[in-house]
Amino acid sequence: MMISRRSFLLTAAAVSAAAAGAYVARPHLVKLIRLELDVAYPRGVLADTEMRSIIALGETLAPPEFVPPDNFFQEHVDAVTQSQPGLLREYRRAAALLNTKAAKAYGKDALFQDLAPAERDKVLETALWRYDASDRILRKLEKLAVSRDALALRIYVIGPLIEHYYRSPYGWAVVGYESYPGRPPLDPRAYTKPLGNTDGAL
Amino acid sequence: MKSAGRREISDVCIVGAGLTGGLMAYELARRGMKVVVLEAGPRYSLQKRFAYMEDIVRGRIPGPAFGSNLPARDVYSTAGEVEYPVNALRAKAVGGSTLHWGGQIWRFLESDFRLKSLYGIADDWPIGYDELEPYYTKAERALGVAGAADSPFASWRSADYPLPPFPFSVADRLFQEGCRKLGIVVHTVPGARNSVPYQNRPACAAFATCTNHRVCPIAAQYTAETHIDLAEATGNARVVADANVVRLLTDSQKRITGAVYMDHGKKEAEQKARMFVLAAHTVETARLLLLSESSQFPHGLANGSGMVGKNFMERPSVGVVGVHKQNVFPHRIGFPTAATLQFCNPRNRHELAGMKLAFHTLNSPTPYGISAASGNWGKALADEVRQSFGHRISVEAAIEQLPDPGNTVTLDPVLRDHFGDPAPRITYSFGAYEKASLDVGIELGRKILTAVGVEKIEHEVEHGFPGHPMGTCRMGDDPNTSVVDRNLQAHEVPNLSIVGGSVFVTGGSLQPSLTMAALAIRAAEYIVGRRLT
Repeated sequence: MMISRRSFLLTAAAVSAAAAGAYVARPHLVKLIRLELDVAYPRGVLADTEMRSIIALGETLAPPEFVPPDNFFQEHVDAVTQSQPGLLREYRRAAALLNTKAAKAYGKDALFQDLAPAERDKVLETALWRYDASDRILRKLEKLAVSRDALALRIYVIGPLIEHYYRSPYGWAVVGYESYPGRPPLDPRAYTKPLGNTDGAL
Repeated sequence: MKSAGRREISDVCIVGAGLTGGLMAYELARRGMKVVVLEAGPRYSLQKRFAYMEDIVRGRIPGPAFGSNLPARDVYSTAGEVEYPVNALRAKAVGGSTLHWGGQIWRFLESDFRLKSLYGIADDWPIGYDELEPYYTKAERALGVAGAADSPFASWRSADYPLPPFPFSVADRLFQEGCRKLGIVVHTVPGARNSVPYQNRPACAAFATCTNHRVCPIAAQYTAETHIDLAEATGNARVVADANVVRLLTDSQKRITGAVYMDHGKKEAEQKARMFVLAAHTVETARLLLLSESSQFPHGLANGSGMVGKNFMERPSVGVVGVHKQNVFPHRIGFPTAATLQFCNPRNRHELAGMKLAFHTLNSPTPYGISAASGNWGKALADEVRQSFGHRISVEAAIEQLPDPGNTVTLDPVLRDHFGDPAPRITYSFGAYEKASLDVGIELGRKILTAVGVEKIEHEVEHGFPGHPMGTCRMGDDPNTSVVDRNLQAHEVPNLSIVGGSVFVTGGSLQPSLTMAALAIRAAEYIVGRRLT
């Protein structure tokens, strides 16, 4: 079979482009593959120092005016690391990452949990991007830009801790709700009135 | 191999312990008939309902509530232009889909039974509203419906609702004002949930979990478990959970002699009875008839007309979502309190479907819904949550779908379920009538949201399904064009009755549950009457 010089060159260019694309994308693909939970890792609980880092992370994720008590995050984390395969390893990696970043920013002896709230915030910003819910592009780009452990921190630790918080009374208090789905109000007809307005006027 | 099992012959064997199966069981058992109810799914504990709600609400177990406990049993395939998501819309368990329903419960309109006579489309039902009205009243009392006769578009009624209505929510008052500008009358929504204590069940305490989380922790919302329990309390009814009926056996007289069922471990047993009632959901009822083919019924049981599985219908819906400048304080009650029936019976219904408009804030994102999509944390995230929360409202238009023999439930030629039987295949499309009507629904929704004063229309929901499958075993006087007669007895099988949405001739634009319940009570009276004669 004869092929023309033009076809040969086009094919060669396409193959080269595909190879180059695969080479460039390789680290990201590897990262995404390695992001999978290691389900063979034993279940269990974090060491005290690790837990203190994670509680400090939880406090950083919550708004300062509605920070829950320590056991709010600790009980949740203990429950999931003991019940869900692979999560203990991710929480350990998260604690290690936070402390590595803290040491890099504030000296080799610095621990994440010992930092002031504003300093913890800055440490988190060295690992992850900030974006609003409407910023879908930034959300996608973050996956390509940050390290494997930072991405795992976002997906396996920060996301679930934020969900745990915003499903709780503390999260509903952020929007001014004392009662919320699953916790009814004293007055079952309270829903007919705006919050903070007892005369029912809109 | 069949188990020895219990070999008694019951008066009636009911397949399915949902809304209609539960009502039938009670209505028959309280009149002294010995009833056995076979239910494919498990029996969930009412005592554990509160803890179950907590787990769902806190995200400790994945939703939806009361999902399939045996996914390999519930496989299905789809064909046609529109994929119909059966499993997302049904619950297989004692209580059936009432375990996770929204609880809105309307009477059909008089016109809904007479589309052919009034508009020259589809078919008339063999019975009309007047004949069914006393049974609507009985059904409302049985389920405990809270409502008010405040809709000028509803059909006549001989009695008040048994329970007072729920007043409008903050958002629904906004809708009422906006609709008034357009000449649209908004009224209350009848619901099968207690506005005051009723029949040993407490009043709704506003847990706000019934629609979004699909579970009421205190049984203020009706589930068919109520009538299953009442039936058992008569001493005449027995419920067998994890009993997946795979075949109905017949004798030379074309009578059903037994229902063969298996548990999830495939242990087989047979329940004998003098009469059988299929109350197994629109899809599964048709499938069981098709699976029960024999030399006498080569195309499936009771299917001499070829109508079993034909004319599958739903209430397809569209939605328009907008953002209002005012906080409407969503998620403080679990159900909509206002709707309008103004468009359920348009003058040009021959070309435009009836449509019911409902108003929602339940799809307004929760704090955790907003936070899950955000990449912020700390104060920035809290500010974002506060700013986004409470402003989203929507209008939903659910339309009547005409019966189309091309929309079917058949047996899949390849796919097999857990028991080795052909899975159901749902072939489903919208016709030009439905497509045009859905477009009108979008247009109406946009107008209403604009009149209500939204700052922007955020998006449209192309189509959705509320989970009201109907058709597949339609009723009629002509055995050549229907499966059951006006009393819901199968034309070809003298000891078989069919209840549920499957017997509907047309679907209407209103939720079908009350009509299903009324028909079931009526069918029970017919069965008792036959027994006495």
